[in-house]
Parts: sequence; structure tokens; C-alpha cells
Amino acid sequence: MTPLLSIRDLSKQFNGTPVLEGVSLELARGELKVIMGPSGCGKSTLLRCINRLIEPTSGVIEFDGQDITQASTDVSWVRQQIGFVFQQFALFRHLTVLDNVSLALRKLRGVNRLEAQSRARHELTKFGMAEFSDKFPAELSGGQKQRVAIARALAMDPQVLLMDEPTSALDPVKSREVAQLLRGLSQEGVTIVCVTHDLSLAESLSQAITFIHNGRIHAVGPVSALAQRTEDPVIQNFFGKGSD
Amino acid sequence: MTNWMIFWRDLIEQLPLITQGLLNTVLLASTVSVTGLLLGCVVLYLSISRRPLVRYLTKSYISFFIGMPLIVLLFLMYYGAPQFGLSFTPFEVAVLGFTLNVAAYNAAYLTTAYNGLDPVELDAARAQGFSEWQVFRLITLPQVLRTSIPALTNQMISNLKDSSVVFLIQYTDFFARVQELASSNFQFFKAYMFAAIVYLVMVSVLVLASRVVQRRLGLSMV
Repeated sequence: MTPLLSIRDLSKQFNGTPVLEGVSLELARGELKVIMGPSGCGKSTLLRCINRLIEPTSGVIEFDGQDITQASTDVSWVRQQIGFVFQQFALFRHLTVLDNVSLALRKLRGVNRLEAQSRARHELTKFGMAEFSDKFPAELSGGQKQRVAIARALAMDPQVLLMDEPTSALDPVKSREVAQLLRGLSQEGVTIVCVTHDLSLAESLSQAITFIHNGRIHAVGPVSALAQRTEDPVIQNFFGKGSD
Repeated sequence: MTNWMIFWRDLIEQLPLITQGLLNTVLLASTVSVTGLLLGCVVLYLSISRRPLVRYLTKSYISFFIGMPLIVLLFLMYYGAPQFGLSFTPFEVAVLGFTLNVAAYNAAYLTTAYNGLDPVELDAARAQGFSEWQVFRLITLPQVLRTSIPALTNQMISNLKDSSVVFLIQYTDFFARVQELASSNFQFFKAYMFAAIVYLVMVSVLVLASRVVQRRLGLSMV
């Protein structure tokens, strides 16, 4: 089966300093891939490269068979197909929840205001946030912001959802809710790449995780199996800290 | 006739001219507040460009016009430019000079507000597929304008007060008419106190309007 997202030998350098080196990944449609690794290992840079927020130094990213690293690529179209949920939620502070979710539909897809708001409400209802439609981000809790951020990304009906540390600002109860939500989305056919430090989230989302260290894929496998690699100081260092 | 009676008589007599002067002042101050804000927004947009040369040029513009006294700029344009065959009416010089000056200040205020924005919020807009222009128009500008309301209001107040210098380039504003009133009966203190009170009332209206706007927009920017 042709992968929906294929990353081959991706590298990124900032001012000559390598942040990603020869990363290769493949995701089938509906697959949920979890990426872990210590801070500064290049996880977020990888997500940003996939969404073209950062231009890779070399390598190929194919989305649905099309190389999206080419200069001729319609970046706006790529970004509409590959949604991004940020660690800090990044909701637009000056807009209500409803406007946060409907803005891109109106301005990028040309959907009229009423239709866009109706679709946004539908999306918010799925995440139990419809009653907060008229609230501003500052009036929401971390968990509520997270749900709005996911609803905003999904309102554009993306084929891939990139999630950067989705539970870093949430308590364990909310983290479990997010895990449940992501599993549900994956079952609905949304392809998800989730970067996280949260071991319990990683275990509950995917049977195998991709572990990145110093910009390279260091290991792939189930969390439990990786945690038992006592001979690997990198893994032990991370998992030791992670399970504190 | 007492001095007060002379003053009031002349004031009432010259009221049509003073009113016209007041309208000229309001016209000039409101025009340059709008044009200065529009140009300030353009300068902000250019100052956050990804092209270093554009950023350098816009920063130079801000430094140059903030550094130059407004009256020097007005004199250069009104008295200096005709030596090169460029003639403008007093109103044109006032609008152009004020706009260049006010835009530099406004751009500086807006830049300060821009620096306070969460860059991830802008990345989130880009990540959704918005172009740089859309990010600026839909996300950046509404937020920096709201954050800058106090500074922009102060600038509008300055525009109103500073407009009193334009009588030096033959623009008959409110203050020019008050000067005529003062010199017609030599009641300088009364005339200038009258001018001060009128300016104070106009400034108070602006301050009150700004507070109402800030209160209405306050919640969304918590």
C-alpha cells in the first residue's frame, strides 16, 4: 500500500548545526505514529518540516505521492492537508472560539460565514466545546484550549494531523481524554504524527514509538521493549527521567 | 467697557471665523490620524519583512522622521520645496508632513505591540495555510492595533495639539484664529486660556472615546 506520508533522508541544519540528520519515516493512511525523544532532539523541527514551516536542508517529503519540498509546491494547499496542533495551543487571542475554528474555512476555502460557523459548531460539538463558542481563548482552561485547537485543525478536514506535545500543559485526566480523542480520530481515518514526552500517552496511542536522539532515529519499538534496553544509555537516560 | 466685555464682544463677533478654524483643526487632526495610522500599518508590515533591505529601510524611515522636528519638516516642504518648483497648499503640506511624522511614531508603537505577540500564534496561522499577508491582516494587525490603543490615542491627542503649529505655514486653524482674536483686542491671557479650554475639551472627548473602545475590546485581549 502506498504510504500517505513518506519522509526520506530528511536533514535540517540551522547555521551549520545539524538538527535533523537522515530521518526517514512512512505513514499509511489512518496510522498513528508517536515520536519521542529528549528536548532539542529535533522532534518539533521534524513536524515543522513536514508542514513546511521550516524548509529542510535536504531530503524528500512525499504527501500522497507528491514531493512537497519542491519550490513549485502550493504550500498553502499542503498546510490545509496537513493540520498542525501546537504545544501551546496557539489559539488566536482576539477571536472567539467559533471564529478560531471557522476563520480558515472562510478565508482559505471561501466558505460563507454562516456555513463556516455551522461547520465549526459541528466540529466543536464533537469535542464538547460548542457551549464555549462565544468565549475567547483567555476564558478557557488548558484542556478546553487543546480541544479547540484540535477542532480548529480538523475543521479543514486535513488528511494528516501533526501534534506537538499535545498533553504537556494538561493534567493526567485531561491527558487521558486527549489520548482517547486521538485514538478515535485515528480510527476515523485521520493520519496522526504525535510528538510527546508523555510515556503513558505514547503507550496508550501506539504499539511502537519512534525514538529520536540528536536528530537521528535512534530506535523504533514498543515503549515497554525500549525501556528494557538497559545496554542503551540514551534510552535509559530518557526513560529513567520520563518515568519519574 | 471692561476687559471681559471687550473680549466677549470680539469673541462673539469673530465666532464664525473661530468656528471655521476649529473645523480646520479637526479636519487636519482627524485626517492625519487616519493617514498616519494607515501609513504606520504599512511601515509595520514592511518592518517585519523577511527581506533585510526592506527592514533596514523601514527602520531608517522610523528613525529619520522621529528624529526630525515636525516644524522643520513642515518648513522644508512649505518654504523649501518651492525653490525646486514644488508648491503645495498649506493643507497639503500639513497633511503630508504630519502623516510622515505620525506614521513613524505609530509604526514604532505598533512594532512594540508586535514584539509582544506570541510568535507561535503566527506560526499557527501559517500552519493553517494562510499567506503572510493574510497572517498580517487577520491575526497580527487586529491584535497589535488593540494592544496599541492607548499609545495610538496619545498620538491622536498629540496630533490635535501639535496641529497648532500649522499657522506658521499659513494654515488658518483654530489657534491661528485665536491669535487674530488676541491681537485684535490685546486680551492675550483670556484668548489663550480660551484656546487652552477648547483644546482640553477636545482632548477629553478623545480620551473618553478611547476608554470606551478599550473597555469594549478588553475581554478578548486578556
